Amino acid sequence: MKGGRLVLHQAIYDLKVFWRNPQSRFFTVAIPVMFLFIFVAVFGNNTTKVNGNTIRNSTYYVPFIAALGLISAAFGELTIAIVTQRERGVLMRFRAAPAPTWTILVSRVLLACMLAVILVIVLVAIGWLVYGVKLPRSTVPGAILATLVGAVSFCCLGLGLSTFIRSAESAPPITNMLILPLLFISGIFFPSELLPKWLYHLAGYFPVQHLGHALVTAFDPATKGAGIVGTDLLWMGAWGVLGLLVALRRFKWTPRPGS
Amino acid sequence: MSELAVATHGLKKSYGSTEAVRGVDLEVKLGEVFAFLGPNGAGKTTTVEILEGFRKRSAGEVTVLGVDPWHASRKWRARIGLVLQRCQLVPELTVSETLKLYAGYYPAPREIKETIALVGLTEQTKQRAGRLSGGQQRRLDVAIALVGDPELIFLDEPTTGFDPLARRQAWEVISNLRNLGKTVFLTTHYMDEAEKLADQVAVIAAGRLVASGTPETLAERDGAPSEIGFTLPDGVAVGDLPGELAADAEISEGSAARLRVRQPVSALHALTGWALERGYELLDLQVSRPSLEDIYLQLTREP
Repeated sequence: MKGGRLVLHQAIYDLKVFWRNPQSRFFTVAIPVMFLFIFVAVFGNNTTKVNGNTIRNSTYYVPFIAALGLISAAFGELTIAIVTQRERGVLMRFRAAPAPTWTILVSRVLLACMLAVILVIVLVAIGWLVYGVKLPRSTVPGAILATLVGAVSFCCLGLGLSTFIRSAESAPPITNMLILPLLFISGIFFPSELLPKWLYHLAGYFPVQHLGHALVTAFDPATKGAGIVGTDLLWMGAWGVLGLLVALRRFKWTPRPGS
Repeated sequence: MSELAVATHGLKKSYGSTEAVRGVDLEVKLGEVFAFLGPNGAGKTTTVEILEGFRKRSAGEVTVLGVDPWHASRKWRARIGLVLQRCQLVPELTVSETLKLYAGYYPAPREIKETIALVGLTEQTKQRAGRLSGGQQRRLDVAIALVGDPELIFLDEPTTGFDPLARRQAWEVISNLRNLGKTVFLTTHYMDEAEKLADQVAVIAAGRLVASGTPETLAERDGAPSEIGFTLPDGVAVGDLPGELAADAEISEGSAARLRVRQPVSALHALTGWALERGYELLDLQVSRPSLEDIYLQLTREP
């Protein structure tokens, strides 16, 4: 109970720090919203094929850009925040306080997950209100499950990645370097139908495509049942577990010597 | 119950084949300001990080507030405050937010407003940490160390890189801590800082203690020869001085004479008596004790 209160205490300040940082606001919040407007405005009226069904591009972009928002909050923002705080010695100083050490990390992860979920909700709401892209009621469970599994998995991946980055300055470029190519080959920016087969298959080994696919399946009006795609959830979960294992093995509280 | 805040015996730390700390014995009493002096790389920070429980010693005994810091509990942590050398603040939070954040981790924190006043940041209460000057940031750092109301505070080089005004202000803060009855363990490479603030001083060089004592008596400074300096009158040579003085005299820079004497009172009496008798004026006459800085430089000189 006491730990829970500490997590909440910490999360409130973490949220303040996030919101007051213009880079976080721009890259994590503004960019996905901007992309949604741009992509739907430019390509929205065409159609593409998903799972063999033809859907409108706007129905395609809403879930995929929501996936982008989730990834930038849960993965990008979290990785950068943890590396920055570690290299500034903030984590080390926290460790000198008599609070249980897990609370700072749980609070960080909780905040990242929360931001990811909020971003998905905001993007889906814009898609619905502005472009009339509706999430069928029957597949809401699929969309929720994909969002939650995605948020937790990408957070764990962020924790893992943070252990490999040596300085606060290199955290944003390294994170982007890893994530941008994956976004492209996973069909976030242009429909996966247009990708060469081999590239599409390659992307299938990584979690980004699975998040997008799970969400778009939930948005596809032709989808039957609850819209839960087990394989996508498994792929994301597996990557999440890998990230968590790496983090458990390599996580350090102290800055690198000489930094 | 011991009245020692910190006690180490034969403390050693090696990194691979290099020995950073080679057998250090320290005793810091409760309620005193203890200055741990030494040049960069002498083993100061390593020692402090062992005392804070961040590093594991290779050998020796360590107790801090009666407990081995490496196996210390969270309860123990609540009794310790620290300012780390490599630690920065979260620039997005204001002074009061920063302190509220840290206060939340402690069982019985100090009052925020009063803590801010203690480090002289009342006017900056609502300013973000990233917009404070270097000296103000360091004082906020000290405030974080204080907010849990600890008994023992470690300050690792709290004024390195400060301008003179910021240093004065930081010194005032540290004096305040003494008045609150806190034990302060301070590392520094500034002599004047140790002299101004500390009750006890220990000097470390190349991983070993080379001296310890009060600032006044460090390395028998009180018994060390004093120096009498003056300008030799025109036409007078060192050989013309009274016999017992001429032997101790040396000349530097033209006619500037310096006498190193163990008994400055009688030497001065002999010198001025001699000058009066002959009607000489002794320009630039002064008597000085070796400064702590001289002692320190002697002690820490590379062999």
